[in-house]
Amino acid sequence: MEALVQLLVTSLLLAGVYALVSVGLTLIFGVMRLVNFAHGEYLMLGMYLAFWSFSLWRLDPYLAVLTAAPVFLLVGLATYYLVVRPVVPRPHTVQIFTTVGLSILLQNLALFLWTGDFRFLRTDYTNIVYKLDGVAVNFPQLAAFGVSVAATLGLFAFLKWTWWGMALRATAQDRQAAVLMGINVDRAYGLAFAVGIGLAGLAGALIAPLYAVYPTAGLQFVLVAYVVVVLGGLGSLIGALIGSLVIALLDVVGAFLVGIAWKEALYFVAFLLVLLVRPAGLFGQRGAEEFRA
Amino acid sequence: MLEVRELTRRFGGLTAVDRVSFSIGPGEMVGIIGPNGAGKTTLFNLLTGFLRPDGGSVRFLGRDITGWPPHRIARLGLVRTFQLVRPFPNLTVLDNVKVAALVHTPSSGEAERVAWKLLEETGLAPFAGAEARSLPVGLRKRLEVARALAARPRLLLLDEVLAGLNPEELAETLGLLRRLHEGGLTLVLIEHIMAAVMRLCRRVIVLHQGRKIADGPPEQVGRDPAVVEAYLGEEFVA
Amino acid sequence: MKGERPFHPRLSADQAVALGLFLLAALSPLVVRDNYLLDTISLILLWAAMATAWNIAGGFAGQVSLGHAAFFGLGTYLVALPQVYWGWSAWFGLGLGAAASAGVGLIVGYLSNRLRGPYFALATIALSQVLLVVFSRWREVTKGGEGVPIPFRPGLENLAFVGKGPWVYAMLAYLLVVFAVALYFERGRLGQLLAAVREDEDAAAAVGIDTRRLKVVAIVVSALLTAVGGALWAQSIGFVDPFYVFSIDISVKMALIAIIGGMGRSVGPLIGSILIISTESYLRATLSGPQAGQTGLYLIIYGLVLILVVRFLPQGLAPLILSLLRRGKVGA
Repeated sequence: MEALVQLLVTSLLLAGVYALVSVGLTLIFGVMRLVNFAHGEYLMLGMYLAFWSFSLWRLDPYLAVLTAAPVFLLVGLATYYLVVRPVVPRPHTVQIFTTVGLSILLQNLALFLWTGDFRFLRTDYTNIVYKLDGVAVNFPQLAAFGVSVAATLGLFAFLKWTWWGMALRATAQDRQAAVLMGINVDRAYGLAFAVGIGLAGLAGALIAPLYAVYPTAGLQFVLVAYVVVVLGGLGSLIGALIGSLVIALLDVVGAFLVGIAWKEALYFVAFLLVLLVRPAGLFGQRGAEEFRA
Repeated sequence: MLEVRELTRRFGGLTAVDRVSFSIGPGEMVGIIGPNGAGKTTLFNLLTGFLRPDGGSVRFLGRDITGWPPHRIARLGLVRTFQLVRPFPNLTVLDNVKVAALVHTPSSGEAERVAWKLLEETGLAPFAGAEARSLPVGLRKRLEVARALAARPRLLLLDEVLAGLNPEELAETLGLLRRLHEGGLTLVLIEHIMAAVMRLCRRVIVLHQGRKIADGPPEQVGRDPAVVEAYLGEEFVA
Repeated sequence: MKGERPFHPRLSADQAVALGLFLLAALSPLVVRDNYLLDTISLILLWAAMATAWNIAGGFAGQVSLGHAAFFGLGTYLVALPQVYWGWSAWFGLGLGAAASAGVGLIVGYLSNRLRGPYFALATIALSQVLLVVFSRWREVTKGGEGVPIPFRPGLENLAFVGKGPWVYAMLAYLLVVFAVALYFERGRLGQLLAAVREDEDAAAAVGIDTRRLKVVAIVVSALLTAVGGALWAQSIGFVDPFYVFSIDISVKMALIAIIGGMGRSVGPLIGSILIISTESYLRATLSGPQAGQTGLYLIIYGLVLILVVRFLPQGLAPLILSLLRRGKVGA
């Protein structure tokens, strides 16, 4: 019984981080109809930001977290204007390989600058473990969950109550109508992309104390993020949240049942099943089949 | 030749096509008219397999083609053109037509011969080597027709093939349609330009809000009070 | 593809260049003595063939797959395991791998008719990852993460050769087959129908083109040919590492070579392979030891080149290079 509760709690905490990454991914897709194959690399860069801030300047990782969001917001904006914007009107193939190229570039940049060595970010308090009723939770997990929830709530608030948030939602629902209403769609895209990347970088900084930091670290998370996003429905934020819970649960329970070795296969199979049976996911607005240039 | 029975299609709360039934015999030239939103293009999509009906059936050449995929219906001889023309943009005018001909013959040479002949018939021969996307709308419409003809239609469904043409192009296209009809091809036209349809077709079907409200010779349909009401003052010439 | 009439009576520039390259390759083992160089030539030929195979699905049928490593890996394992377990001939394994990949190709083909663009790409990634996990964990059957060493029994009947020279011919033969198939997909009847499907799938269906079947055919052929490449590669290296053969890197490399070279024509991937593989080999040879990390540098450049090519030169580098050569031939 205890083991089960422990599993559930760990799943929940993990879901928080998956949510942060997935929400950014689904936002980009929802608004821009772009699948960002380089999303994981921004997560990885976020991890490195936290790591190097600590190694070089003794900057507390949770302060680094504060800087990560704005830094990656700017990075996202820069990426949008330099790389993504020119290919928005182009066919799928061009878009796919632009972000794939970006992914290759960033991964190997990291490899080149910082080598493939695994880095670990450990401070004095990253080892603090809290025990409640026999359930163990460590500080970084809790912090990651807390900040993820706060950030996600912040995003929802932004989307619901600010003008730009509504502009993003409008663009996601009907691009042409948005244009007719005077929304600068180009800026909307830039904003969506920047926010998406900002969230990815933030997530990276948050998980740096929890996982090893290395150039291809993003890959694991982004693949899971894609499963989450497709399960929840591309473009649906609620879907991303629920999808995160489901996948985190699958992750932890799966590891428990079939072992860490096989659980990865589990979510890829889940991914393929979702795509085969219900490509729109749980809450998606448009089916993947309809996705046309 | 074509039997449509109780064909129905809904989109959420809206019934776009509501239990429409009619038959088209071989050699006919029928016009389908109706105000915007009447369900004309949806009807075409249902007939040609691009949309699945929620009810009813379609029979073509004695076979039940309800639910068949588009390419199968086209191969049987029920060919359609698109309202917003869809040429293969990066292929040449010749290749656009040739590729449709290739479906019916394994020989590339034969397909090319057929394509040339059709280009000549439709007056597109001078543009054969041009890329389809470089063509103006009027010529694109004709290309659409030429390509559809290459697909060996027994019944050709033309979706607003006359829209957007200048008077000269209009006269040429009307001439083409008459020639095709005289040659034995069965034609069904969706049109908005009523004057042309009334003059060209000996039978007119009127759709309004998804339902068929009239079906008969143009003079009769033109006087039908239901039709007049549907158009609410739009002028037409009987 | 633009406005070209197929079946030219004379050789087109494309075909002339390809022929020239094949001849060079065929002559190389007679002239070149350096093993590393011969090995590089083999690799260039192998990757040219695999990128061409990828291009049949990706370029000609418009189905961009980022999971072709699935077929490559299957090819490697199915040539290795029967030899290791039952001592069967490598040729049998090659056939088995081709058949199995064709089967998986059918599944991928089915997916391509349900999903468009990026969704399809994601699905193919997922598929290759599933295979990676399965083959790297299933110790009882696939020997797990340790990989499979292939017993070396030289002889054509075992598809194993001593020295690098014979491998150049083996890879060249493979490339010639793949290239011939690609030419058929580019210019033959199937190719023209596929071009229509690429341009506008619905309009193609409206004139009677069976778009679904065409796409599946292209994908199955692409899968099959890729698997053969895997089998040949495994035989030449003598070892199968699941983490490498099913990796996304392999999938991306195939696509990258085809795209940078030029997706629209059969000769594109050939040019792409020459450019990329020779650079790779050169860098690997010159930078070693503490500079080994620098080999990552060329990948950074490839990422950049990919972004730039896809944006500014969507037809790839082939048309540029071909026109340069043509100008050179005619004379300044």
